[in-house]
Amino acid sequence: MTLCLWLPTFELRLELVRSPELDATSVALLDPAGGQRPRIWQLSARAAEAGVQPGMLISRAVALCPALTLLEPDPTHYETAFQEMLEALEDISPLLEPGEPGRVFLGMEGLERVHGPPQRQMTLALERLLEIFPPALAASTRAGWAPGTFGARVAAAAARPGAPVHVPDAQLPTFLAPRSVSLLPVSTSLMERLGRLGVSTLGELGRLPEEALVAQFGEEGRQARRWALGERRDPVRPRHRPRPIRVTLDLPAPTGQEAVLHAALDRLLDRALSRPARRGRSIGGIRLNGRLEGGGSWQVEVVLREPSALRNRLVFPLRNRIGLNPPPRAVESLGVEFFAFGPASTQTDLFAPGHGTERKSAGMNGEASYEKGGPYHISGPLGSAVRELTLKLGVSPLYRVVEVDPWSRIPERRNALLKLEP
Amino acid sequence: MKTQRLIPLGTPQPIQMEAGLPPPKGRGAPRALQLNRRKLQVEGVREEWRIDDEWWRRPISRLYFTVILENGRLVTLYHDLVEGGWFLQP
Repeated sequence: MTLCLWLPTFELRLELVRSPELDATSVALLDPAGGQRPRIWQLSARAAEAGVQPGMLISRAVALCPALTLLEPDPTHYETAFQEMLEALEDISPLLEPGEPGRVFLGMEGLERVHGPPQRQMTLALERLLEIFPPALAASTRAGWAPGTFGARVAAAAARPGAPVHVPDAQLPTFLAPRSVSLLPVSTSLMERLGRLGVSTLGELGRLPEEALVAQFGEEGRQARRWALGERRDPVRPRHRPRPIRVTLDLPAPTGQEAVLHAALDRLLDRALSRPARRGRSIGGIRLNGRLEGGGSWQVEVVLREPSALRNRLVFPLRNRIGLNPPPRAVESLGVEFFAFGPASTQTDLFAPGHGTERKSAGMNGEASYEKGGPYHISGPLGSAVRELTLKLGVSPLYRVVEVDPWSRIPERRNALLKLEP
Repeated sequence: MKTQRLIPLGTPQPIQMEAGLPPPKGRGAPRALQLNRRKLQVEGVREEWRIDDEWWRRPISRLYFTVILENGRLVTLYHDLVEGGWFLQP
């Protein structure tokens, strides 16, 4: 069985804890990924009554609701609060899967003897939240108990604050039937098409023939039907949490200049990469956060397609992200956090690329030319191995794969072998 | 200055193929092929695409197939539409 704890509009609620005087007013939080044209992200019930909607441009929102209070997002604060929530709940069950911020799934199988019946376990979880969050925030938590993460998600959506919903195993299909299809974890396009087909509840979706759904939506349609019927019950996938590496730098004076931020970023990456905890691992995900002048924070995040431990490979995607989403105000301090890791990338170090000119100088119909010691410096154990083999066999039996025309439509034009010589 | 010749990787290898009639009379899909002196039936065609390139120099026109053989192996092969003949693309 799975317990889902959900704090809707988690980020806005955290802001209202900071500024309780705004609680009964029209208030909206700006989207942290909004870039130069910020949009509305989350809003209070009163702002929604005035016609403001998430995704709306500020100008339109203010025109609809002149009394609207706009709040700058503080992603670092939200992330910290969510991590606190996860750590507090880890005491109840070690099987803990974070959803989007404010939503947590807990695997509760076999915990009756430790914590008591389901109602008692839900109360215990809510009490644990009361220990870390102010009562106003913790009290708005919705709790749902059902088989599988999807069932628990729907149960939490059906629950009201202080009134958890418990769905026993046998009642899951009947409980799901009248619920909205919008709760399904499927693509937006599938959701839109279901809307156009007039399918609004999970029961209506479950009554459609499986073949018809597969013909229309492929495998995703089959899975959506299985969720709707309560046949698919996903277990809680516990999070894998490598200890992040964090470094921070206080800037001498608040600045928003890109050149200064880039220089600070280079320094931070150097410091983070030289940490002993990083050795033997490459970096898969980096978060750059800044404390803004006058309060608030700014954050950009990069997940690398290929983990790397080379500073140049880490810095360029981050610089691009800064260009796309610059800090809204001057930054007082910057921090870099490595939060995802990959294996140590030893292969790149084997060849130690020199000037990276091999592709320019190589041509499939001609001959590759290079100066000795030019494109690659074959040194260390590999260099001595090549020398030894060449002495023994007369010729070097080792080759290196080089990219010739990697985007060619003709497969045999893409790569070639180049003899490694000492 | 020292020069070295590049050795292309993934050079196509000619193969013996039994196939349907080529377009426009048929789809020309492969039915069976000789691989390592063994005749293998094609169980199914997973993908099919065509490449036309370098018309300004020495035209290349290939009809590619990714097929599953009876022994479960997945191979990519093509029919050379200019010179004729079938090739296995490693």
